[in-house]
Amino acid sequence: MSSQTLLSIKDLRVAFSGTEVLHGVDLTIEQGVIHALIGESGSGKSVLARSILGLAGNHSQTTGSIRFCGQELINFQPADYQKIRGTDIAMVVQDAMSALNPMRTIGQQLMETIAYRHPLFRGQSATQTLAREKAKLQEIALGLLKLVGITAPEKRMSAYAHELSGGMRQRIMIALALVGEPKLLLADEPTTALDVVVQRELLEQMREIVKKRNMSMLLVTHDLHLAHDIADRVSVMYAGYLLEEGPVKQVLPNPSHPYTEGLLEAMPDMGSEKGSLKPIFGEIPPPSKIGKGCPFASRCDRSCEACQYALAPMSTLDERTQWHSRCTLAHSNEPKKQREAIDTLSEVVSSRERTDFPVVIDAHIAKHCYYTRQGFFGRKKPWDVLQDIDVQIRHGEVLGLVGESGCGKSTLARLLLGLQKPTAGAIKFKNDFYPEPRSQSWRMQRADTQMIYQDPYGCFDARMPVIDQVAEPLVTHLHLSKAAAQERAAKVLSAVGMPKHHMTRLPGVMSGGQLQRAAIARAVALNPSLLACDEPVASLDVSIQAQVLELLNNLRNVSKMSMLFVSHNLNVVRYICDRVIVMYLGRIVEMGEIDQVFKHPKHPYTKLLMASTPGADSSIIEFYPKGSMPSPIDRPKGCVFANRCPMRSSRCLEDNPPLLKDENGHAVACFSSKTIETFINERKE
Amino acid sequence: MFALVFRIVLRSLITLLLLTAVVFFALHLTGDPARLMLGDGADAAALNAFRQQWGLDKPLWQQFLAYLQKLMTLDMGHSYMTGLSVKEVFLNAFWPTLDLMIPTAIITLALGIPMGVIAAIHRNSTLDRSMMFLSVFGYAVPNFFMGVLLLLVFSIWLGWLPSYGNTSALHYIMPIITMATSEAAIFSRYARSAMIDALRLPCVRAARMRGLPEKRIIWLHALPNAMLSILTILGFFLGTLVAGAVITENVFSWPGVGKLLVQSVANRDIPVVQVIVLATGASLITANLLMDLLALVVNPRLRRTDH
Repeated sequence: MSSQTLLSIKDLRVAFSGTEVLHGVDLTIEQGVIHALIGESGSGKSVLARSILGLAGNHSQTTGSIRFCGQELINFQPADYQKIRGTDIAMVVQDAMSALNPMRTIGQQLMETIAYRHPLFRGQSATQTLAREKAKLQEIALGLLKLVGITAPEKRMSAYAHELSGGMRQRIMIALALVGEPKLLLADEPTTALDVVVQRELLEQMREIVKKRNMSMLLVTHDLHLAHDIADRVSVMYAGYLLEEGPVKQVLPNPSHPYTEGLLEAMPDMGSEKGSLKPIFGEIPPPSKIGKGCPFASRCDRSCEACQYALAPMSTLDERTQWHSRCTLAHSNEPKKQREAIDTLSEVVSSRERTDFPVVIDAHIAKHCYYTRQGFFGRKKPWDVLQDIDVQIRHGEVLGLVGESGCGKSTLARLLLGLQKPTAGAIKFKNDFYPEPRSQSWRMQRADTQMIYQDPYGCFDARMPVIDQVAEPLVTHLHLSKAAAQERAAKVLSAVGMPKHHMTRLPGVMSGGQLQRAAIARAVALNPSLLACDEPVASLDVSIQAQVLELLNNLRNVSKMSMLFVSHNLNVVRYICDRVIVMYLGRIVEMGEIDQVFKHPKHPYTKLLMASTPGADSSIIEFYPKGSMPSPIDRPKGCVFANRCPMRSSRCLEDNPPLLKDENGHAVACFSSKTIETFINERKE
Repeated sequence: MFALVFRIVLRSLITLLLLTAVVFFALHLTGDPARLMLGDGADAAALNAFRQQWGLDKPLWQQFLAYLQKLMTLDMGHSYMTGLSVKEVFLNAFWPTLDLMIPTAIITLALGIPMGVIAAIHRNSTLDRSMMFLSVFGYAVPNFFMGVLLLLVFSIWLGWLPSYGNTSALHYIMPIITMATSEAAIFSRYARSAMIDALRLPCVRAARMRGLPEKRIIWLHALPNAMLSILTILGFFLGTLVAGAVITENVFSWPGVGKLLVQSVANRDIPVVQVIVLATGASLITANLLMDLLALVVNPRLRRTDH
């Protein structure tokens, strides 16, 4: 590690119209180092990254010092900033989906950026370069596309953004950032919107490029495991303060600050036992409510009186590795303050210990089709979203459904809830077939199957108090009087941990975590037999995510409610589910008990998913051929995974492997009897 | 691609047919044309003769089919009032209107869009505020007031410009100013908000993050995206041109469609009214059709055919 300082931030304060959101942050990034900046939403991590390029916002006041290569950036004028953007410091942001101009081709955008930003053409008139040096620009552009791992780069040059997958768009954004051969790359949640497999691949590639070019990278992320895999150093931010900083290898296994420790304990990993998550209670305080004390004190179970009045300065834990922390109480054995547990759930949801229906859902779906318009008169052409799905959900069981986006998991959830009818096949709910959707009897039955969605803001009416929205279905389905419904709604809401004074608020002013609790309350108030959760924690912060997971876990224990849990996050599924189904391109590739699938995965795709999960051992990934999920409109003839499978044989390209169960009920759809490890070992020899 | 164009054109034709039907039946609901034309005192023989002459004695649906058939051959019947061919009457008014409207449209767009875009770029500055004040002012002053005001100042007080007719280039100045001010005012508003939205797009921010110069970001990244939404408004604007400006044409006694419409309605000259309403609708449909096709050309997202 070279010790040359590239960026040095001292006492950086950023305020928006008088409210300070960064309270004197010090941060040093050395040349060749990947520095992770960790924090939850509202911690100010993005503001910090953006302030470096003068992009914090139009109405921000920034004070302090940001020195880059010995140059003070804080007093830069817009024209000065423009000069360093894309040349010395480049930035990649989260929403690659819309960060490419939809009206211009990838080639046009790359070539214009090269003309303005590439070292070769600096100091020349870019318009002339664009007109005269087409061939040279094209060559550089193609080289960059290859560098970031774009397949068939010539073809992509004339493509528009909408024609590319999310992963490819983000790769192109990275290519655009690399044009000027920057010394520092600011990556603000660069892979958050991507599937795990793509995320892993892309991050490895970014790491490789950064290391090869001896660049530095500031990686802003909320994911500690990801920081652990990629970064060299880590800084933990909370409410506009830096709480801990140090080398990843020291901080993440053994954090010093209680907040870092709390984050680690709130995140399920491959080894977490059920019920072992320790959510951080409460929520990040808004900038206006931050006093002189430690901002984390209100949520910290080790806080003492002194924490309320003063924030401790950074103290050095290890001089050699520059490990600093404001607090060292993480592993102290002080008795923790007892918190009120959310244990009133049993009062509001009735337990279903005994049941007439040992199997709640029994589904045999031969196929389910969507349609595209095609041809002269816009005839509808069907394509299969789902094929050969046999699923049972037993009473009191939590069934996980994992797979990357586009694999049909949300469609399957909708079918299993009876919201749609499969094109071919039948689904029995409590031994009866679902009635025709939208019919009278279907309506009557809706209360028995409920759903929770990813975006809690999207599933609440923004203009109606939360408690009314929880009470509404009680009036409709249970025929309660308005007053009785309100009373029950209030009971359920407080059982999921919502304070009384929050209940009458509008959804817009509530936090995502609070609102997701309300969504859960709305669903379970009806005492459904089946609760489907579609990515219920994907949009929530780590500490809040743990709260919601624990709530669902308690709910399951108390009520014996059957649940369908759709998620792309393997750690979360592993933590909460009893059984799991792994889907790929509309087919089940593996199915079994959690321990069977996670401890002894059989299908090569399951292995790839697990190895791609942040925090997991990723050594086998390099043996997988590069590729992406084929379009379901053009299904491959044989095994759906054949194009990405290292073990494929000619048979895999011809036939679809059937889903075969072994004696323990662990089912897998693969022709090969070898495991991927033996295959790799054989190949190594 | 071809299929997509075909579908858009087909949709327009169906809309046109529906419009024709609605106009035909709605106008026949307003009363018996024979009685309206000949007055209440007319005797039965005269009424019958009139009905026979214009085919009004047949069932309504037969009249409609006959009307459609004639329309196909651009035979639009004869004016009840003058007995002249409706086509001739309409075209006599149509060309002067077009003469007036084309320069109006050009001035409107050349004034309104740049104003809006400039205001958006300098958002919340004095420039933006004064432009938007002008815009509200231009829109708020009604055309008849503006027209009369201009007449008063330039024709009556100063005597510089002729007050009615369309015989010389000078005649065009005041009607164009009257219409262009209010239309450009509307356009600058639309252009401003479209451009503000475009400047907020993540791709524009990303371009700024890459350090591209502001001029290039505005011209090549923000403006094309803003133009997409301006295009839709443009369709509506161009579509209304044929109907003419009823008020402006009447204020300046311009012998155009707007003036003809007022005359024909006053005289219950149904065939003429029918054609004008139809032409207005048809021009709106055509303009929208053109904008849909243009959108296909300029918006890459609409261009693909496989989905």
